[in-house]
Amino acid sequence: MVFAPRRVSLLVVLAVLARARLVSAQAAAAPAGAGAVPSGASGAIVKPAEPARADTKKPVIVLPELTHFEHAEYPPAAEKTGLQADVVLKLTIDRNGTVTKAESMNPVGNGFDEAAQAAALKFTFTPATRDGVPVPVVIQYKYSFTLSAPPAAEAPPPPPPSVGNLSGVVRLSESNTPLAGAAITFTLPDGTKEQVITDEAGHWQVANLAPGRYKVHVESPGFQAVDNQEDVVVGEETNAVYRLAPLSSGIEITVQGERPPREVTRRTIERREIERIPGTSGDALRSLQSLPGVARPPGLAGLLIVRGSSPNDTQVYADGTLLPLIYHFGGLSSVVPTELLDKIDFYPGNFSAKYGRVQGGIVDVSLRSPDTQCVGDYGVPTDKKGCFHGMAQVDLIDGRVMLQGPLPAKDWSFAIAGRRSWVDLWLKPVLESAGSNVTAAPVYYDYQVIVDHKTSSSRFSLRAYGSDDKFRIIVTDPAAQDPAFGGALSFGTSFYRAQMLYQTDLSPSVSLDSMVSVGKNNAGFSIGNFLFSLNTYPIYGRSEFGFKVASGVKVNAGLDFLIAPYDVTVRFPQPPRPGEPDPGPFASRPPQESHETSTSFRPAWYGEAELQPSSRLRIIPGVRVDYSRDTGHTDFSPRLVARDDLVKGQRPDDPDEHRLRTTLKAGAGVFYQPPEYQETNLVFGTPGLLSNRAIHYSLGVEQEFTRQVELSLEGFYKDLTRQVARAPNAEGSFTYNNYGTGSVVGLEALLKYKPDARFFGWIAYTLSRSVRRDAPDLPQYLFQYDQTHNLIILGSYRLGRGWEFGGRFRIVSGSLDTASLPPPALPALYAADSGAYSQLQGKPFSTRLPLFHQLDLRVDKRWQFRTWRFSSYLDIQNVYNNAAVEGLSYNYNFSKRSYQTGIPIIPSIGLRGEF
Amino acid sequence: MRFSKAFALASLAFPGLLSVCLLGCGPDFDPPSELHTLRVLAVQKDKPYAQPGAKVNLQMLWEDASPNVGRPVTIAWSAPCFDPEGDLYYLCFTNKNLFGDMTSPGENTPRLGNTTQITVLDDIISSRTPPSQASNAPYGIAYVFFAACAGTLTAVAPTAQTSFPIGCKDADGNLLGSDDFVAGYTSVYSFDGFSNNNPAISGFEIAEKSLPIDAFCQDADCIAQASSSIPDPSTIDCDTGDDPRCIPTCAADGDRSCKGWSVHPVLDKTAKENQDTDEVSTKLVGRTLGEQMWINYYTDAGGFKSPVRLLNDATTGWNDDYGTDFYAPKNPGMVRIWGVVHDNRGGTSWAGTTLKVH
Repeated sequence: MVFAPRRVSLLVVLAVLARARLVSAQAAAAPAGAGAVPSGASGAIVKPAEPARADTKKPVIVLPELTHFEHAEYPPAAEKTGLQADVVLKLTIDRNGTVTKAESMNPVGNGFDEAAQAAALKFTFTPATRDGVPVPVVIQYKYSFTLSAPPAAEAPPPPPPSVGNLSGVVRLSESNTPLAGAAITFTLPDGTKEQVITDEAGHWQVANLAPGRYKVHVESPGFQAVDNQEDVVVGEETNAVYRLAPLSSGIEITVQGERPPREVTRRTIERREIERIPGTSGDALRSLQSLPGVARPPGLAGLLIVRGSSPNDTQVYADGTLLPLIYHFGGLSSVVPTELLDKIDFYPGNFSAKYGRVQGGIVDVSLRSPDTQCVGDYGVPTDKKGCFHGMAQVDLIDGRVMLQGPLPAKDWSFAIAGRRSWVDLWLKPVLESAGSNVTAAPVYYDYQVIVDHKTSSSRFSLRAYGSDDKFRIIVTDPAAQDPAFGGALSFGTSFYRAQMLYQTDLSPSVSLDSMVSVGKNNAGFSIGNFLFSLNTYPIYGRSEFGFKVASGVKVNAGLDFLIAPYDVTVRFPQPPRPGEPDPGPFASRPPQESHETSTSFRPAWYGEAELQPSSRLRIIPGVRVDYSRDTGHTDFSPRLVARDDLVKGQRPDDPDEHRLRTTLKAGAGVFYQPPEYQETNLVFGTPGLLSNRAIHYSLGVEQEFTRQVELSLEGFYKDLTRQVARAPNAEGSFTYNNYGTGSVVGLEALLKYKPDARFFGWIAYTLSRSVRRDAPDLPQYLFQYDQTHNLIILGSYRLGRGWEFGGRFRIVSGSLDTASLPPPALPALYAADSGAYSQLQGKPFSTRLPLFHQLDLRVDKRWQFRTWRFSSYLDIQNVYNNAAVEGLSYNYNFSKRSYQTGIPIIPSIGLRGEF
Repeated sequence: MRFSKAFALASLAFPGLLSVCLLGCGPDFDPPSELHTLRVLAVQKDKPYAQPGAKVNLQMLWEDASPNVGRPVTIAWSAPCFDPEGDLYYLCFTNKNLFGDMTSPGENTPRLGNTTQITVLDDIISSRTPPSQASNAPYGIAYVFFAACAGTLTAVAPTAQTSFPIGCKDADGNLLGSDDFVAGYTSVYSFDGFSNNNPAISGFEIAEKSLPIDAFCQDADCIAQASSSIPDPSTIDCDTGDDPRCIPTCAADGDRSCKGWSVHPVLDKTAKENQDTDEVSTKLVGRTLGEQMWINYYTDAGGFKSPVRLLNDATTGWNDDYGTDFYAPKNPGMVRIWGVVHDNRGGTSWAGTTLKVH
């Protein structure tokens, strides 16, 4: 009787190397023969390893390799009766590769177990190693006993090949390091799936596959999965190389504890999207301008224009505290660096009662908890915590550094970061060549310190952060259009905050989220005798309790307050407001001054009920009451939001089943925004004004087409009333009033491919119309920032080996401008006191500039080394150098006009190292 | 108290400042300093800040640099417009008789000529409500409008709130455009007790050599009087003499590789007129602040390196380097250049000279 195992298999390697699990790595193949014909040692059966768990530590492990196979004696009784069996053994292999123990995991009897154990104890292996050091290991091993078939009288001629093979190797994305233990799943034409595991050299093979196209899914814990398709050709072996990128791409922004929206629309941008959107240089807040509902700002203006509202109708918060500005000068970069952001929530309208004192939109950025997660070699994440991370980056605009890690006390961690711009190095010579004496070239700084204490149920965080922008020059060649704007110019904005957060679950049904911050805002601008200087010392506080009252009923109640001592000096002639005719050059107009020191106090109370009458429907009524001591008025803001999942994406009874979600959403609410300082000031404004009021209406639908592709459609309407406007008075100044009205109507569409291992992208389109009227008897006009069409197409694709390529194309309605009176009327008057001309303007904002379009491209390359990572990018804005029109430019007497064009092609290069 | 607009405006200030600093990156229009058409270069008031009841004399510096040499030009002045709402000059246009009756001679006929006179109202300040903040000086304002027309003045129907109420038509009755018709305004401020002097300009230098100053008037008597004391530059023999008014031609108009001739109006920075205190700002700030002053340069041929130069900054003081370079035209001939000095309180003075390009 001849027998042999058809193929001796490393079945599933439950290898234990020290404290880590191992995964086997041997390709599976179909049995070499059928029936009872042993096929010898070389035909070992390999069954696929179980996918490794997410916490498995991998690529440095080398598995034991069988160097001596011992044939087992076929149990005679079993042979006589024609019995066959598979014995699964657990083998313990010592550091020398010797099998010290062999146990049958599921005894099959009939003498098979004993025979297999006896043979296995004579096996020898190469030692398993971890990081090159031999270690003991335990593996599973399947020993198959099969009987040989009777020899055929005459072997038929071999049939022509009807199958093909697939093979290949899996490597790390940024190097040639092989990745052992990766699971490769094939979907056969009949829909069944098979899986193989890569060996220690990253190799894998599948033989005898029917010809055709196979879906291939490659995954390994800690790495981005890869999906592909391979063609199997009869008689050939298709070889493929896959490269997996570690999941950890630097410092992750993770959306923690994703809660159901309390708003009609909340757009959250994921970390990868933020970093890779072309044209933004990886800046988080600049990426907001690629979302629907956000208009393209005029060139170099760091403004956020949301759903046809004025830029100052949208507020930016950092974990609940108001930031006075969002971008450094020129919109070059955000005041809070991307590396320290946890997430950005953007609410274009109909936002929660949690937010108030604003009638446009909300941007709420969350600073991250310091990252102390340890990573293994080549960036593979581990469970271990308590590691330090650092980062240094330079590009043409600025340089930044960051360090974060654990503090000695348990659960405490820290992060510290800083940034300084380089703009002064190249802009100073440019300005000086243009005739300016630059006393302080444009420069900005920002800095952040975070100390965090985080447990599973609470978070306590202390932060200090701030920003500073400065620019001082002496212009000795004043602009001919208004020569008063020459001489000593200075510009500066700065702020800092000390902030404390405390979030905890007081009980299973009660949560607390509190924040308090103190700080200073400063804005200063001076030119000649004109001056604006503002110092405020805002103290913000917000506390919100969440009560789970009953199943499907949660109530959130909170209060927030703003106490802001301020000191403001304004010495300017009254500037015109948007839409008003040009009152002539500032040159010879006497300044008026207001100096005021006071304290603003604005408390608010709010409450929301999150009602969930069914698993599909959420209704959130809310109310907010704001008081403003400086105006003496109280504003009452009811709001209502509803979301109904017509088709729920994930079934509660079967989380693995994902259906294509369909959600209807709607909301309506009242939003108040107090008047600005200069509007209620005794000198420049009119005390006693009411808050601006906006009523937001929106109705939309979200539809998933695949797990990755989702369409969001939303129509919105904003009814603006009680808007602050003004009219000239007999005293030579202006009287402010609340006669202004307006409206914004629009439609937003977002077709998004959510980020996967290779690609992300979206198509965003906004259609809108925004109008204003300064008084009931005055004509309506298009609002200054009205943009009818705004289409953004962007995407980014990982090419492999650390390369990523992306593009963004924007096509946007031109900005609005106010042209001169048409002929035969004179276009301008000579203002003799300044020696310049004053434009005689026609209907305000009635001239639409040509369509804006721009293509931005970005290429990233990342090199992953064993203990650190280096990356670089080339971000090219305006690739085809489109001379986009940003405004109208006139000759000295406004008789000729031309287009003022924006930035030309601008390549930006960045380098970054991190560990 | 909301200050978000302040920060939004500050965000806009940076690109605004950059555009000021980098002026010249825009479209390539003719610089305002190069005269090719009818232009008003300045209007001087003998009392830039006038007390209530004071008489103020105004005179205009204008030049017709159009190819149509010697054509008649009509200068007209409006009646003063006092204290319009919001100090908005265009609200004066609602006065139908601002320029008088254009069709029939008489009392309402427009005031014609290079000069005019107005009388400030006695209650120009007191008729207004005093400012709420004591540091803000009460004031009144009078606007005077003017027009320079190389045709016939005519009333026009307004097409907008800002439409200028008169036009200028040619012999065929067609309204003329900006090349042949210049309209404008000047303002006379009245502050209680505050005054201002026009800047003092005493000479003109080119390449650090003093030049005689031309007369700037269009009246025949004035020109005759000036001509008797100023040597006629057309008589200069540039081939034999060393007259500083002789400069060679450039290869092309606007050729900046050509030699630049340093142009420098003579201004004594210690002169009382050039050291005026900006009383309004001083009262506000509580320390002495000077005026913002600048010089506009003009020429009827050739060009300047800078059309406007800073003369005095309110906070950093006098700028000694207020001159500029002049580039000669490619064609020989007589060239006139002017320097018009302004301060930020309505003060204006000018000086000019004639060069011979050979």
